[in-house]
Amino acid sequence: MIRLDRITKRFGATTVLDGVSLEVPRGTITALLGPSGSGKTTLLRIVAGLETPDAGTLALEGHEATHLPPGRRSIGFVFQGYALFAHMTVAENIAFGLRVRGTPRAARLEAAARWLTLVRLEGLGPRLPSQLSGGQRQRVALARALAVEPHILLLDEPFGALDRTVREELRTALRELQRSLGLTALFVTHDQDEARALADQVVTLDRGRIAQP
Amino acid sequence: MPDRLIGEGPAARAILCTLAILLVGLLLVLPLAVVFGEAAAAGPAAIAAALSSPDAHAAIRLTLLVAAIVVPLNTLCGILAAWCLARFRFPGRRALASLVGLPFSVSPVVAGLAVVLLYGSQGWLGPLLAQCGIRIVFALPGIVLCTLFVTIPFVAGSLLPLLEARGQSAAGREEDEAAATLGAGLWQMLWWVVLPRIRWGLAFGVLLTNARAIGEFGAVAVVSGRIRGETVTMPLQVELLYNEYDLPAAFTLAAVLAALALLTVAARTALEARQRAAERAGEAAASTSAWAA
Repeated sequence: MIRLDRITKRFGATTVLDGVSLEVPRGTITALLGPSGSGKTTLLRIVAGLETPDAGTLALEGHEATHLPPGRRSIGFVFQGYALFAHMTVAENIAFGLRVRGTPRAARLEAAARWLTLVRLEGLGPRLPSQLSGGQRQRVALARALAVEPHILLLDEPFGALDRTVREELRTALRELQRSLGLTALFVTHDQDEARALADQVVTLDRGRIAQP
Repeated sequence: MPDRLIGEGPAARAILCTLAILLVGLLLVLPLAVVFGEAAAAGPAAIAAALSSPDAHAAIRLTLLVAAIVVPLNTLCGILAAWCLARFRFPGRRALASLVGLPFSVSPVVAGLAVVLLYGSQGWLGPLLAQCGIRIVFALPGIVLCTLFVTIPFVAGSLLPLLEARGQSAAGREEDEAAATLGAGLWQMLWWVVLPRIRWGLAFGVLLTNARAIGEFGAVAVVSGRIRGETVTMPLQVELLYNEYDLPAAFTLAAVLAALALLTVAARTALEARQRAAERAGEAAASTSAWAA
């Protein structure tokens, strides 16, 4: 569960988020919809711990998390540009979070292979990210975020750069994974259809406030 | 003609090329050739004698020891300094960043004098250290300190622009953030995510640090005291031999130093070639996958 309570964030003189309160129930998907500059990505980054709010509190799974570092929030984050580690193979990318946690090499490789199957990229483990298509990179980014078994999945414009068919395929894959793993998910999009198609709850942000439906 | 620039005539091209070849020939190739020529002219017996003298052995050993201490230390410090300067914003950051390049613009003799002034028997800290039985000047620590000073800019200076560019690029920042969300601490981020991305620049800086550590003369000359067989490095040994008119031995050792320099240049060229090949491979892979997508 994600609970945001009167979150405010300013960059210099601009107020990007103005007292936003929001709850994402456990095991559901919420879409953050809004035009660019509405503060939706900042809100997502605050949940991830990549930004700190100036006021307000954040609770994850019932625990106060406003000032926890990103690595201790039990989150998986999928970046808009995928942000794969270009010098690591696909398998190494997926296993990175486990390596950080000190998981032995054999167990890491096993986990990477399992995730490659789950996102249907069997056999692509030894490739470099630069040798994959956009849709495949997105799947690797998703597998990397989920391999550390987070409770919460955060996605920033996850399908923005992909064409229509790949997008719909990935949408289905994401929905299936989210259901089977019981994940709480929050994703940012500017596409209304996508928000409706994927999310249990759609929240629209406008100039740093939640727009009333 | 695609390879002809605007305003470039055949005459201008001929003059510029001749000038460049003359300059390189006169200032670089000829002196090197003379060093190797003189060493070779001394004959194999003289070369063997020059290389097998105990003083030459001691000089070579000391030089390698200094390099073995200085190169890892300045590599580690250079990485940390560059990362700190590129990653964090703090007052005095700009001043510190330009200070990193200071040893390039200060004469090495000044570095040597500073060490003497600080740690010499008449210096600020010298008497205190002498009481503890620690000797800096006219001993290995002084030589190491001087060499550390003159080689500071190589690793730190070659990494800082790379790391700053990385910090300003969205892709670089997102990689760091991805590592953070996956639980990586600062160290893991540095060693596993950041350093592999700038490894060519790092290798380059290490190479130059090594070359300079082996070749440094001015700063080391001030603190060495020239105790034969103890504090004489290879460049100092060359000077000693030269001043004693032992030219075959001087040129033989000089040729060894020059050969090390040529090796450095060769390694540097090989590194650059590998880097270009790696970049091309990356681009090729990216373009084929874009095609496949």
